Amino acid sequence: MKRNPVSLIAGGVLLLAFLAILFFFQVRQTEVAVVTTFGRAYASSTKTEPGPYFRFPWPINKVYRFDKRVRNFERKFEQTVTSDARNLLITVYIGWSIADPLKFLQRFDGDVIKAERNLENLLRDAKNGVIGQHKFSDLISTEEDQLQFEAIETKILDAVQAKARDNYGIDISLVGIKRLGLPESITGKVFERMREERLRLVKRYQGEGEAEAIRIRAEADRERREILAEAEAEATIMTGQAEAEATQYYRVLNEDPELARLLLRLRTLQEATSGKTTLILDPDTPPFDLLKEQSLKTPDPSASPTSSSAPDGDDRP
Amino acid sequence: MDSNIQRNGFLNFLVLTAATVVAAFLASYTGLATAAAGTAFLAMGCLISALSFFRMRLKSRERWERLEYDEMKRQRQDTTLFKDSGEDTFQARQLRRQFDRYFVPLFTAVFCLAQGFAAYYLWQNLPNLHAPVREQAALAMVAFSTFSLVLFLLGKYSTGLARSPQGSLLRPGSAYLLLGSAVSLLIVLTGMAIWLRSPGLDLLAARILTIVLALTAVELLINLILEIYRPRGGDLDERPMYESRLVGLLSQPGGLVTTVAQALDYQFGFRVSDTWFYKFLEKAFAWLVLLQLGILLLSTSFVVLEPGELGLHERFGRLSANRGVMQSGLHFKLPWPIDRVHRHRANEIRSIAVGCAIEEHDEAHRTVIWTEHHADEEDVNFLVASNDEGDTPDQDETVPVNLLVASIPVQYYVSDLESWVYRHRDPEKLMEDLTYREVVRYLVSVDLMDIMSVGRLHASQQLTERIQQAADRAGLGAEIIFVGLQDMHPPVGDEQIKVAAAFEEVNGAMQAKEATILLAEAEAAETIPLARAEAAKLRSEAEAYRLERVALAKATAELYRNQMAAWHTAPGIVDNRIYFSALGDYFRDARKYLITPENADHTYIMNLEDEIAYDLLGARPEEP
Repeated sequence: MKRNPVSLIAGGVLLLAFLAILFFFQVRQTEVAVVTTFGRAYASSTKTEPGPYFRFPWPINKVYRFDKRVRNFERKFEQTVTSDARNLLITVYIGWSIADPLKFLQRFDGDVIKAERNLENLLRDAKNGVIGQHKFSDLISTEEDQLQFEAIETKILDAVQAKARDNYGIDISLVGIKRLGLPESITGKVFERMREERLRLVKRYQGEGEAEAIRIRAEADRERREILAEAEAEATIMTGQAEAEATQYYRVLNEDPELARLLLRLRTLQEATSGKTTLILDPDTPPFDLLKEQSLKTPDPSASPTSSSAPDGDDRP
Repeated sequence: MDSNIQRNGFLNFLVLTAATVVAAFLASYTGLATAAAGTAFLAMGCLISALSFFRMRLKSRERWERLEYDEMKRQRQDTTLFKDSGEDTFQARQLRRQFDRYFVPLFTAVFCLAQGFAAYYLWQNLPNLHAPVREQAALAMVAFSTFSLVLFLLGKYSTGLARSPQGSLLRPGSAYLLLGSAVSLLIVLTGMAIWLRSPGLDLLAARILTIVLALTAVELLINLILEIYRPRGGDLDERPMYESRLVGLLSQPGGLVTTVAQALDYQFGFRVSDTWFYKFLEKAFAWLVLLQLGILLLSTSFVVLEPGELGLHERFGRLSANRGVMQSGLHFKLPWPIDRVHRHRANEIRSIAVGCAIEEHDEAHRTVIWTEHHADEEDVNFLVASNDEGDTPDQDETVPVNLLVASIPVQYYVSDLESWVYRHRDPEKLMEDLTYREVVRYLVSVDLMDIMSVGRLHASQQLTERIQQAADRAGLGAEIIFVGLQDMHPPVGDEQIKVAAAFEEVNGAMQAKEATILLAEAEAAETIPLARAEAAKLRSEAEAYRLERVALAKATAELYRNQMAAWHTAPGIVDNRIYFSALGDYFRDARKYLITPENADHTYIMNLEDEIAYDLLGARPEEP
């Protein structure tokens, strides 16, 4: 019977590959492995160093591999209460890794989801317990000295770390508060407070504006009145000076008071009859007395015409 | 020969049954979707081989009956009075005919339904199978490669027997054996893909097998319908209705190659299959495949890392001590599975969006304003401390915090690939967690207005430092290059309480305040110059009065002096002249009335050019 060499080679390669798969396994840099023999694990069963390892095929040996890197696990955004009875929502994350692969295998059958479910209970208990010991202001405050943020995280870590290592074979290396929030009803109150706070500022600014405007207007009015008062005072002084100076010239009138009175009266008459004036005269009024066929007589200068617009006697120009 | 064929048929049934049971267990244990689909094919083959075996038994009994009848007839040498047609005496033949007429179509119908149901069930449930792990995949590979070999050898042997006239009933079963072998090989390949960490191929192959199963069911249904209208020929059909041509084609693809070769011959007009090239391909096909496999293995002996990429070199899973982190370029290594290089785009900038993220290409939000929702996750309000704690009247009830909507993009790159890859399973998620934590930690310690205004730049610097320190403490191997505080504003609020709008109202009030002050200043600016002008007017008028008063007094004095001289020169004349001259001047334009009630015979001179105002004397003039 003629044998095909290609088939032999292919068969040999496949056989070697299958044998390698059956009798060897690799542990990667990121892995740890537990090798059980007929379901039983020994102290030497755990392979923590990376590299190739020998094994017998199933069902003699069975290899369980685990990722030894730190995994992140995040709790739900859960409501809790502080020691001063303030409600808040909090999310806590942890970083955990498999510290004891054999224990991890025994406790959770190597199931990461099962492990995280148990860790969730542990973490939830620790978180609520620690938050319940602290005031709200330990978590939120502008006073840096008052804040206990890191202390709270450390307490939560301390509360879960030992239990997780001893019971689960898990090492929890970090705990952090990822989110903080408020329940919806309180959020509404905060909204209201924030708005009222702003409206208070609105009123303040409005009041400040009005007050400043009033002050500016008052100051301007004061200044205006001051300016006008000064001007009026100066004008009054000037009027007085004018009168004083005019009086100097009017002294000459004392030399013949009769003529002065005549002239002043005539001037007043002139001023009084300026414009549209209606005169109702007695026919005896010179020179209209000529109309009474009398000879020309010397008019009496003291007889003054009667005017409907009687002058007020003011001798001001 | 006959017994040999029957034994082979029974063996086919046994092997396929055993393969079905073990495959079902392995499919359940390993979670391999291809194994589940393959189990369905093996189970169908099991049923077909059972039916074939049963029909072979009936056929054998019929043949033996015919031989006995012929022997008996020969011994009697036709001495009977009435010739017997033999129909009543051939009970085995009757049984076989009844079986073929009623049971086979019924079986085919049920078989068709079973295939259809299996295809539907697999299609629905394949994605729900638990993900196979590498160890289990290796076990499946070993088991199914054994199946493949056994089924192939048995199938080839059965196919050879089926070519004989008595072995035609073996053909459907042998086709399923060969198909089972091919399916097992496919399962081995998908198992290998899982072992090589490519689990997606498993579901894809299972889907393809499910489609083939459904197509086979459709083909059998068509066969069944056509069988109803087909004219009946001999006692035994050349191709039973439950035999699938599709299965035959898949189990013996050589027939397909022959068909293709014949089609090529026909198309080209000469026998392409007789050319040296075709014959060479036919002979060297296996070698070429092996060569391809060799080249594939050699191709795993070097790696080319693109710009921006870094590689982690592992030998038997351990990070190489001397060449652990490879830079971009060409690198040689031992072939898989000894050496492996894992590529990572370590140098590229990675981003985290803390809080709400504004979509750059969101056309609906080209303008970002506080009072309208404009980003995803805007309901994620950060708690920010408040300096106004004591100002609130109901401080026992009110939480002394403010809420802030923020968008904080963080950019970083991997500075230490070994730490980034080997310390944390999901470093990007941890980076996000740490960033959120530092942002929350910072915001709970600052005042809202500070962080939104003057404290913004300081906050950016602080956050950069804090996130970097947190990443270093966690051993992430990441370098923070940018932390931006964007889109930081109070929440929009809800329908009743518009928070962001209230902040805008403050700005509006500030503007209104400025406007009110500016208006007052404008009025003041107008008032003062007007007052100054009015004052100047007063001064000017006073000055004018003074000048006028003095000048008039001076002129009056001068006039007086002159008139006084004339007065003393001609007393009585001068004053009359002055008087009448003045009277003439002054009364020239005045309206004049002379009233003499005592002397009615006197002549009156009245100027009636102008209308007399009737109300002057309180009397209306008489109408003419």
